[in-house]
Amino acid sequence: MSFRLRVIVLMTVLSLAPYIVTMIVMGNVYRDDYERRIRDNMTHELDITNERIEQSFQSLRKDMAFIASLDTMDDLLTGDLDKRITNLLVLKKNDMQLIGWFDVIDTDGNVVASSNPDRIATSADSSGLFSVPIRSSFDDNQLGQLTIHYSFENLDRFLPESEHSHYHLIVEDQQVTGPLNTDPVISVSRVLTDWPAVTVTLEQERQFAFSLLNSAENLFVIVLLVGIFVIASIAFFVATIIVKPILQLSGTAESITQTQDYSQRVAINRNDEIGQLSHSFNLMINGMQDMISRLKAENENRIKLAKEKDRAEMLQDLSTKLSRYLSPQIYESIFSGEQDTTLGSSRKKLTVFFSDIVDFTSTTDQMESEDLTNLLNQYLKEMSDIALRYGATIDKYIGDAIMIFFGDPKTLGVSEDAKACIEMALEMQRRVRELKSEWGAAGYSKPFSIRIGIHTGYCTVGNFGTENRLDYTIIGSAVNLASRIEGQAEPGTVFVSEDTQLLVRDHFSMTPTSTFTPKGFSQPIQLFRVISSGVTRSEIVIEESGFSLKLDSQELTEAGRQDIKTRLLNLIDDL
Amino acid sequence: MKCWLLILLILFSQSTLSADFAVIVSATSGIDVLSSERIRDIFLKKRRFAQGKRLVPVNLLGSKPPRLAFERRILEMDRLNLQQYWTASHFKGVTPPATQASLASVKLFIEKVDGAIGYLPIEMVDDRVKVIYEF
Repeated sequence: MSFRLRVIVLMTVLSLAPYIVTMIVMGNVYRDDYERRIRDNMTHELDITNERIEQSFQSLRKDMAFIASLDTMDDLLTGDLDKRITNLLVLKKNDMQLIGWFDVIDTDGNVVASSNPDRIATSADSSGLFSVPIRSSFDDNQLGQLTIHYSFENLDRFLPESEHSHYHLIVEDQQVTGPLNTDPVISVSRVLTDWPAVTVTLEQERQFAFSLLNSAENLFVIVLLVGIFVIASIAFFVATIIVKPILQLSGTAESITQTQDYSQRVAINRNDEIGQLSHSFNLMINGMQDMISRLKAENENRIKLAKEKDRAEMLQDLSTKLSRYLSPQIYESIFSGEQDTTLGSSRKKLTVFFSDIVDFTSTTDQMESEDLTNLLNQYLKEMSDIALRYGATIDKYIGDAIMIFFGDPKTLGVSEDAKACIEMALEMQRRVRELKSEWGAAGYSKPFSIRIGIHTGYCTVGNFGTENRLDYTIIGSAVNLASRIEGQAEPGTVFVSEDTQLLVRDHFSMTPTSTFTPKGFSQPIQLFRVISSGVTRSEIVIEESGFSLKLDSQELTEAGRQDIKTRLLNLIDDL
Repeated sequence: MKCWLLILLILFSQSTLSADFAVIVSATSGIDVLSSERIRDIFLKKRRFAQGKRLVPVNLLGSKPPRLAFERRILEMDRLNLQQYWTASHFKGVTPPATQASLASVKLFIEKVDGAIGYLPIEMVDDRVKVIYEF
């Protein structure tokens, strides 16, 4: 229900409620009172009618007493021989216009004279209304009685009829006169004193009795309807005045909702509650406009951040993919900004590592492609894991060969880099020996052996290639020398140059093996074979073709030590 | 006037010649004879008893000959005097005697009512009534 309709209904109800309540109360109360008055009037009218009837009865009694007292009644003694009594009774009946008859009855109960000739000489009955005694005019002896047989129809002359009110005579609970009215009526009744068996009832049609009141009620209803129309019209006018600014407010709110234009405002030109509401509405819109502006800016920032995040994730994903093609150190240097990705190089003293699988070409010819791929991938993975663990920079894989260097982009110092490189190489040889056992156990008949060459020297390190395709690598004679040393190394050994040996001789046990002059070098190069890590040997490893020995005296027990001595002596004897 | 004189002449001639009417009582009455004076007193209700018995006079209604003869010969009063008498008596509480409309009813009344006394033409007298005076 709209506010305007509520106002109209409320004003109409409040304005007309007292009128309606008064109308209802007066209608009910006054109707009862009105009916009581009608009954009183009807009772009064009925009493008057009854009184007239009673008076007529009294008059009749007197007339009968008078007739009974006439000398003519002496004729009763002669059996009304001259019909004087009969004539008198007929005259009286006609004079009264009596419906009924008079009987004169002697003391023997015989009808001596009657206004009804058929009654004469018959026995009297008790159907008479009332009787008066007849006494002789000369000695006052009772000669008989004068009885009147009175039809209730005689009472009709006392019962005035009108269009809307009717009298009824009820004789012994049966209505005997008057029209039967089936409409609702108001009725009052009285029993005749002189005729107890007769009840006189006066009825008045209820519709007629209340016609005045009904007319008044109809008038009330008409006035009420007119009042409703007038008050509703006034209420509509008032509600329109009240609702107009609210509708204006609502229209502005709806317009803002539809157009999303929060610059719209409600015109405030009043100082009442509606004006306050409009002011508050404008303040609310101000707040919403500010909030929406902030939300819009924040949303733009969020969208921007989301785009950047997506881009960062894409770059992260891309870099992750690219990282597999780069050494982790190179990758970290590039993405941390330490390494530039432009063409350029620098000279640094690096420790360069080369490894190669012995007789790889002949081995590949004897193995299935799938087996070769599995073995090679496992070998490269294992070696790469070891290299990364020692902080090496994996330059590239060249078939089965691995090129690694220490000292760029991160370096612990030339000596430490060389030391880490040799430790890495020893670890790789140990792991290859383990892999050989595993591969042998797995059924591969031609297990790998590797040789390792290490050299420390100045290299040119940087990005080589074009702007479109860069390759981070090292070049220089040190690289060539390291590769040549690797070629000089025996299977399962680690050969280092003298330059490297001088850097790490305090940390490893090494033995000079041979010298050689690689192509492009004028001076022979002294090579050293790395025996083990540490100067004081606790572990002895001897790898020769057809012979392998590993001894770690620190892990041996005394009993084990004696047993090993016995077995080695026996072995020497066998050799 | 001539008519009245003729009527009086006829009546007088009849009374002097023979009795035409009789004063009667019931046959069972104990009264046998009453004088005309006594009868007059009874009919004028100056006397109610005779010979120890209460008497009830009964007149013939109207102006029939028996009554006129009775009033002239017994009561010795004309109708005007008689009316004056009864008017005066009325104030004393004395009313005229009962009346019967016919001679037959007078006779029947006398038979039925104990002590009744009336008059009839002499030819109507039979053994049911007793003549106590003729006029």
